[in-house]
Amino acid sequence: MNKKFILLPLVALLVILIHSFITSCTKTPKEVVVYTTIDQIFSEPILRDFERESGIKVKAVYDTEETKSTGVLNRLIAEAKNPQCDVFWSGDPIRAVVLKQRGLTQPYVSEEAKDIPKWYKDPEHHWTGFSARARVLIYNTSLPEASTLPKSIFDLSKPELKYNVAIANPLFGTTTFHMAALFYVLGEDRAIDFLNRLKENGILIASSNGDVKKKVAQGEIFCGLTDTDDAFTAKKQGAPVDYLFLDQNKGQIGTLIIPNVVTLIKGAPHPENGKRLIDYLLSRETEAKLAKSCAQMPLHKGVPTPEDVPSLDDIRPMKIDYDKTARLMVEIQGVLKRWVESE
Amino acid sequence: MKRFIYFLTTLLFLFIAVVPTLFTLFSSVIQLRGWGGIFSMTNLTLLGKSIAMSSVTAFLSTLIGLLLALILERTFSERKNWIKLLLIAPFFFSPYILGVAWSDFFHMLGTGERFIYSPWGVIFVWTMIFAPLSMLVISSQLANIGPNMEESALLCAPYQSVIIKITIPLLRPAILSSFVLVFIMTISEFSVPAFLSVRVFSTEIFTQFSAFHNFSEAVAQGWIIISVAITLLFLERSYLTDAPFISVKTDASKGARPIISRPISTLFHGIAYGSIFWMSVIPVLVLVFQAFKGGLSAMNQAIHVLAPTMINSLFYAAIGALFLVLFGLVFAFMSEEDHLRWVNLVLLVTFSIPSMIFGMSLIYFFNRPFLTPIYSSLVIIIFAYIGRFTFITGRLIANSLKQIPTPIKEAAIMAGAPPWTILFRIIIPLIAPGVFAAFLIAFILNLGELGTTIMVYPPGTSLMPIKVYTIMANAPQSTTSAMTLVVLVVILSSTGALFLMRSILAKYSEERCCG
Repeated sequence: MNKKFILLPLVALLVILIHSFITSCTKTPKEVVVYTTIDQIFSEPILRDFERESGIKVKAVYDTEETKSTGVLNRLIAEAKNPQCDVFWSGDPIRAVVLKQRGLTQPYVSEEAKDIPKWYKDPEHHWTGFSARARVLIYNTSLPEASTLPKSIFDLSKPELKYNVAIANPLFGTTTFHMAALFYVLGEDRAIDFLNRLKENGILIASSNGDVKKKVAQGEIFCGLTDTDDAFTAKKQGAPVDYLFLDQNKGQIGTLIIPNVVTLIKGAPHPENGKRLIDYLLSRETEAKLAKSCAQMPLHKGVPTPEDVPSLDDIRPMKIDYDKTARLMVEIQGVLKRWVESE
Repeated sequence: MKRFIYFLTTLLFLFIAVVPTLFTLFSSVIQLRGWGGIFSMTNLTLLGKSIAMSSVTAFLSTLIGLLLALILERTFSERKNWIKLLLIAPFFFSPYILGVAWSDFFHMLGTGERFIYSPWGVIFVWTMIFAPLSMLVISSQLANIGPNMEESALLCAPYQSVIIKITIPLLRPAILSSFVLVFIMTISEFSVPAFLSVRVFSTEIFTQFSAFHNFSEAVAQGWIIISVAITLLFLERSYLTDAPFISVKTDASKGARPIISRPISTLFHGIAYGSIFWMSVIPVLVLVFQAFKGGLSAMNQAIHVLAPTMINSLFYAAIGALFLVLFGLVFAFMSEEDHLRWVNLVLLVTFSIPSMIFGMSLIYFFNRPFLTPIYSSLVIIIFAYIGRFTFITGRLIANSLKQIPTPIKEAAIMAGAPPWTILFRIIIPLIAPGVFAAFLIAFILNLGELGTTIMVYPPGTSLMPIKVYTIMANAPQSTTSAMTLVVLVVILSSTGALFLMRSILAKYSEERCCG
């Protein structure tokens, strides 16, 4: 065997590795590292736009459906002692609160968030909300059940919807936050009672919101709880589905509004660039782009949106304290786990 | 010099894979508030369920693998390698994608949905994925069995008796190896049961990790899986002592071919082609149907999205495979030439670590200010590959070494050839097919690795499997399926290119050798 065949690739390899090693040693001032749980299909174009407009290179880490969008949060926690990330862009406030509780975030007040309502912001400025999704009921329009639609979340435990409702595993993602919001609004006893009635009514626990959307679109099940972006995407793709906001009448609890949340990481390697990215994400332009791409509802007043994107002004929101609800979520995880595991 | 290389390689491997894992495992044990929760009745029940499901999968995969191996090695003369390649196609996909494809298949069929969303559904999907691996392990061993015993037995016994009394007992090591390999790979696999909503021990670890962010408990539960795997490996090793774990023989089988009637032969060929249809064609057809249902737009989008990641992925996979072969080569020499048995144990233990825990270990250990250049560069991805797959390359090369007849080396020593000449002129040329197979398998495994790399990939880096997974959330099903097909085509074409390169190199060497 010719020794060159072994030596040549080895030398080339060594050169490449040394180059990569040296490159990573040199900190570039014109870059920002962002970890996001927002689907890459929606977040990447925004980050590319920021890169183009600011000249700051964005290095992103995206999450996956397979890990229930918890991969980057776990990575942030694991990296706590030597943070690599500047900005955490989350699809809901829960993860930001988890990070805040662990002391991994730092406060930042962005001028861009001045007119965002205060209940969408952390009182201590560790996280700021922008473009929001809402929890909706997605249903299959081609099934006979579509003639009598539920109006309230509590209708989902009625016998006429037995074995016809799906919900994502409440231990993960926005469903956890939805459950925590129900516990906040109803109190523990009533919330547990409602969950038990859902279980007795044969609710199907799907692996994710995307799975709920898929099962409803395929007609495997009549309806399910999911987020507006999932329902909007399914409709846009031509699936026989529609969605509605539950509990919109006077005296009802309203629907949960879930804002995106952006956080500056404590010990961020590029804090100034991180702040510029946060400002950009909190801008009206970003909200307009997210409204167009995935039907997210702007929190700034007067942001232009496509016609089919609902306005927050037209929705009766669930009245919750986001910080307290996110904290409550941590406490009820055990209850939710037992509920999922119960027969 | 030899000792120095052994020492350096071992030290590097300890630094890359063993120390980070031990560091994480022991820190988790120290931080754990109590072991009561770990050994709760719920956990033990789930562990029992996992062991039962993995055992059934390992049994079924091995049984199907044995049948296919016997059919391929003993009744096919031509097209055998092509059939093997088609059969192992599911191995190029991630289990999660196949779980989705199979559930969609049953949905399209309009029946069997209750089945697929049950423990039997998980076993079914796992078996479809891992049976080809069993086939590969067993057929490699079968190809190594000389014809003498079978042919002698055929003189006085019918072929079925020869199979039962001679061939299968000779295959015992490969059968057990296949069982152990499939068991270890399934017991820590969580994506299929999580998608099909079946609770097992690995999904429980995932829940502790992802929902409760309780890393200590998750890692402690990981310990239990590692212990189960080690116990099984220990039992298997002590029972088999020196049997090969995985081997790849590239030349044709020399085994005895049965004289079988045409209908039986047709039946066997039918089983082989039917298996290709069930294991490979159906999931691929589902993906093709979903990808092209709305025309070519999904495929165009998939190519557009994945194109920038292809060069990166192929490059990293190739570098990773090169390192894996180098580590595998040294460890193979340590275990086979110098009989350092602890090497095998260390490699086996690292192989049984769940990918997520290994990913966490890499973060905890390498994410330090003075190690940042490693953690934030492509080096960490190479480390992930090394930790995950050195066992595979090590064993493949070790088994090639095992096949070199001792007299050849002895003759070279007697003729006064120095050790380096023996190594480069005799041993390496003789194990070259095994080394190539190790490189190829490592390359394919690297290209598809997700469990660990998803946790450590440097920000801004784009790798093909990661991109597929990060894009698939909220992307139309057609795009996801199209992306999966693009990955399959990339893997198949790069495999083909490697084979082509090998034959060109072989021809070149032959020409040089023969003047």
